Amino acid sequence: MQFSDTFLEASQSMGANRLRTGLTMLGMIIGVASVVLMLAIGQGAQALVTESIASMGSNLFIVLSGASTAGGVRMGGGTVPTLTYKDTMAIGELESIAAVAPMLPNSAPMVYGSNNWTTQVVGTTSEYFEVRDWQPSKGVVFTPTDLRSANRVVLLGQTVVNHLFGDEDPLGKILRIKNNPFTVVGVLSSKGQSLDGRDQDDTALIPFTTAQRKVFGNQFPGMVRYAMAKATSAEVMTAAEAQMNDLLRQRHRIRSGMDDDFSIRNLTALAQTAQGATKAMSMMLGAIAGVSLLVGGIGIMNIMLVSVTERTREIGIRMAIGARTFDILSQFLLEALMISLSGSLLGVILGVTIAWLVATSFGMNVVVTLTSILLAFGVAAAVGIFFGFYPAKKASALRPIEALRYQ
Amino acid sequence: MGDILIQATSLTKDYALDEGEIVRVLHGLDFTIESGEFLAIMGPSGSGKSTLMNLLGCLDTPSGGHYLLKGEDTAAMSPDQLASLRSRKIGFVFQGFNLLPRKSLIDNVALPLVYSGVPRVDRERIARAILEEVGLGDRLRHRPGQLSGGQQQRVAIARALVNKPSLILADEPTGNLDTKTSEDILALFDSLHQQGLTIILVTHEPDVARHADKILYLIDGRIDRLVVNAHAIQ
Repeated sequence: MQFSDTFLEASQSMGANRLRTGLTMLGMIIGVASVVLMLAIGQGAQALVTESIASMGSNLFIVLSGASTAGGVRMGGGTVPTLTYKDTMAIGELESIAAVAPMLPNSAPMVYGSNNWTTQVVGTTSEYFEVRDWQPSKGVVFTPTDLRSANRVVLLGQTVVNHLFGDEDPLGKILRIKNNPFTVVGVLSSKGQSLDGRDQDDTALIPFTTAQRKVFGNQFPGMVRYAMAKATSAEVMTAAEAQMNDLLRQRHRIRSGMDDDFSIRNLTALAQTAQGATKAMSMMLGAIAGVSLLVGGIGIMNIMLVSVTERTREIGIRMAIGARTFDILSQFLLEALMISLSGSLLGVILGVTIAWLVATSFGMNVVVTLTSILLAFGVAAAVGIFFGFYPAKKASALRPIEALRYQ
Repeated sequence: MGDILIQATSLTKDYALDEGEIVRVLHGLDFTIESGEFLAIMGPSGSGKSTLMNLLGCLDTPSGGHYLLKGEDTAAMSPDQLASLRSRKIGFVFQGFNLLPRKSLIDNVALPLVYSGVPRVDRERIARAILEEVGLGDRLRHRPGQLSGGQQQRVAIARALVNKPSLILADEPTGNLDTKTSEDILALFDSLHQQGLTIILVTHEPDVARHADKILYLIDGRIDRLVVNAHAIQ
């Protein structure tokens, strides 16, 4: 028997009972659609996390000044100004550290024309752009002169630009921060949300010296709120942390056995945890969807078994007129395979459509990859063969005289 | 004519009952059938007619003895070898017609050719020619359900003929038909016999058996007698 004939026989019997074929296929359609959809949602979430991590910058540390204790009440990190500008410069000297930026953030109202907006204004140095892997989309970063002379220049995040300037080009315009006039020298490229959902573009950067001397005053001269440091590579992260720890203990003259007056946080480890969590979530979604695929496969087996019983006499006739075991086996197997494959094709279409609808109407981040489609398709085909084999084997093992006698 | 088509020697068939008891249905039959013969097998129910028919049709293998069809011994054959033998050598006509209800007449007739590997273009041509021969050339695309019993049996005969078999096996072919239609079908068997085909027909009606050259009477799984000149019986 030629393959084209087997195909014809299988499609004829599929067409003979359309409702049943359709319902069996529905199991496959739902299974495959949910696999495609769940993988799309999972991978969307993963992509979002990966993007946030990339936007944060890689191999990052945050160095915070220590906690104060007043009358037994511990005030929490950053309450005692123990970290100095000089400390950060010393950290920058370490060979495992690629760049370090002092950070002096403060909330401040900004006014341009009739618009005003209050945001986090950060005093920092030009190394900040290297630490965060963040470059202006327009204009320039601070020059050494800006830092040395404490010039009133500012780089704006995209959100601030939108609120203060609308469609106007902010470059070269003068706005006021706490009533000090600042010239906009650059606009930062958009970074979107951070891992914890904050808008990273709602910020303005001014030179560290300007912030200290001209905007936020000078409660503790030379102090920074915290510093951001970037290691030269992922491999030296542990070494870098140890080196910074030693350096700061030495500089702060902390004797052994006494607590640190600073703390160092490894942001990359945090990011990896988040990435691992979303990956686990997306695998779990895929596994749940896989169960429905399995249920669809069992549906196919169920229907094929019914079909074999129902068509026992037909099988007997076919055998009497010369059908071999393999002819019967391949006919029923192909029928199961065709149901599962056409079901998965429709399932992929349905899954992609729903993913698209979810993305457009709920603004959810979904990523449909070719791999996930092929995976769903491949699993469906395997399910079809696996669950189609037993009924087909059963049909082909019938004895012709008994099959012919079957009423 | 003259060469031996079927040779049965001490042919036995046993069936195992559920209780483990073994029942012997055929008790060592010996007979030969020559090419071109028209043989009727008769006997009361339970005499082993159908069992013998299944053996002759290679639908089953004997429990003991040998059955040689054109010199090929079926005793040791696998199911697939039997299928191949059926496909090449035997055409079946059943009491209940056994056509596939969802297929057109031409597809029903062409089905044995599908299993013997004949290309599609040739299948159409051969099936059409044979359906015309049995007088149904104008209904190629009809379904079996749209035909009368006699017409359905003609389609079944056409299907039996399509692979140019050495042997036609008919199991009560007129059992479901009225007298007039039965005569038409038997006339068709007569003309096939005249063309030189070997036909074995199982029946319990003497009127039907009379069309054959020889009648083999079976009683309780044994050959009771073989009547050679069947036409003469009144």
